[in-house]
Amino acid sequence: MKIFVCVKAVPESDSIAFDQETGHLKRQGSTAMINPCDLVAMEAALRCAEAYGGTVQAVSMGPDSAESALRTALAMGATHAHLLTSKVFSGADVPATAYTLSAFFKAAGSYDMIFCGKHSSDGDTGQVGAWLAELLGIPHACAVCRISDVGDSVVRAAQNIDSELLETVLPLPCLLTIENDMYYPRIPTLVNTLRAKRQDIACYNEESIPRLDPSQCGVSGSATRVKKVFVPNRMRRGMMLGQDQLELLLPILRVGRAG
Amino acid sequence: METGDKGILVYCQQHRGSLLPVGLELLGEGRRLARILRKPLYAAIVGDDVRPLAETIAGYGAAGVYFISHPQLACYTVQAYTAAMQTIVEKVCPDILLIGATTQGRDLSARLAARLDTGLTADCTQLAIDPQTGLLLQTRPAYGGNVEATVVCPSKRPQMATVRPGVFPIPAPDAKGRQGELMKCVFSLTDALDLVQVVGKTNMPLEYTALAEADIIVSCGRGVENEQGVALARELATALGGMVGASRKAVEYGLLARIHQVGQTGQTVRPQVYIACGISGAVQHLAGMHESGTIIAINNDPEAPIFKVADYGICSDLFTVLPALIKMLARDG
Repeated sequence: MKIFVCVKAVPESDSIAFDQETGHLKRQGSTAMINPCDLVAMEAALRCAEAYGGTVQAVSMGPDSAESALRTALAMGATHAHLLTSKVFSGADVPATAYTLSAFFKAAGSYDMIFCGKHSSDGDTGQVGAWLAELLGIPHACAVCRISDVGDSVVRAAQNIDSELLETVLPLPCLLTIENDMYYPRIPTLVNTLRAKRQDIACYNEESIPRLDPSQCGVSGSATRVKKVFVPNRMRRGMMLGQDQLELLLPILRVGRAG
Repeated sequence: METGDKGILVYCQQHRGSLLPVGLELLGEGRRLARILRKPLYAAIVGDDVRPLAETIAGYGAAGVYFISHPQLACYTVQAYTAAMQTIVEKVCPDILLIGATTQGRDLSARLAARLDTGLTADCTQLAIDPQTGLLLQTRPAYGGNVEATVVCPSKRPQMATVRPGVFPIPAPDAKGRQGELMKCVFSLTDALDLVQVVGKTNMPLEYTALAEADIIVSCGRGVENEQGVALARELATALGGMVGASRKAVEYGLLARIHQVGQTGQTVRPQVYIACGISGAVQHLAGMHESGTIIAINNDPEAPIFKVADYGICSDLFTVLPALIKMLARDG
């Protein structure tokens, strides 16, 4: 069983900055970490490999700093890490990202399953997994909250779709996007973290991925443009109440008791 | 599909013979946009035996309702639904395609947009038409709601967006009782679609769905400390007719099960009242609850960031505040 997990490096929530001209995220100077949902996808892949035999490899598209996300995946137990990195790939929206990843998978040849996290904590579209599956011409299942069986040619998974649990059987190869609450991701041991620091990460650009069309990558391959980015004001009036003023809350608290 | 000028198409999701409200919400918003563009509004619905639902939709201002009924569509599989919607989109050639940002809608829209080779903007909360270009301005939150971005799809068609449920009001049916034309489409399955099978379906536990739908949530953070604190939060929630939520830290400390978790790696909730007990207010938690109607924060740390986003703050020990609130509600009857 050969499982790949797509992981993304995202900025630490506290260090977000935007280019007001282009609306793109300024990745320079912000600390990168692995997208939290991708940790859950990694955990699901590792458990599958442990239960049914097989290996897990991690793949990421992003700047050099995306290496840190792949090191986390290696420390958790991935055997190999692949980084698709090039100026040509940058500024990609969902179609351009999915296209670049699909070119990698087509070149990589055989795989049984591809796992993706539910969504990224930065862009938060949750669309790359389904898009990638379509470009690869393989079936996919979203919102997977349980994998109950993996056979030679099929996988049986439960999907949590709009408050209904669907038990689905998919032929291999296929792609699964993993629900957030499927597992708690394992914490890598210190030994594994140190080992991961020394492991090789295979890097690819537009020249080293066969049959990749650079015009479908990055900004030029993007169907959408960010026209404007603005910071919504979330501050509220914040009236502080003392213990003796709780009565003031009564009219607000009655909403749930009305019906 | 590079061209498309036949107006706006709205996908109406159904579930076991009922319409989801978001489809009707989008018909209302679609009608507004269609008037600005002076283009027609159409609706699409797919499933098994959906003609009765198509008739209902036809009363909500769409010029035409395209529907596909097929036994294979009785249960959602993304493969079959994508093929069905592709059939309708290729008939209508819409300029704009709107889909509710439910789990199904977000999944279907991504696979469909990939097949149609167009752009897609996820989870929009605001739509407008650019007066200069006539393009659809699609505004959505990103970075856990820390920023909002307005996105356009300049050349590929249709311009596709998923739109968050509950943002737009459900419109009244057409006042003059006008009905859009019903258009039945034929849909053929290809071999590949038969490969994915749904072999069973059950409803999710009530506790899970109830959190997202609750009017009041009493949420526990690390500051709730122990079982006694959780019991107080539960008692208050019961007194208020609400549900109990939790921060990631409270779940990690084993105070509450994962099913209660609110935030970036948990559920997103929008209750009328959110009571944060002993929650510091990390950005990741705020991402899951900042759209709540009224936010009340109880925390004994005056510097806790939760107070900056709260409407009301009570800076004292929750072990005295919660019993006082419970007592007050008991007096209130």
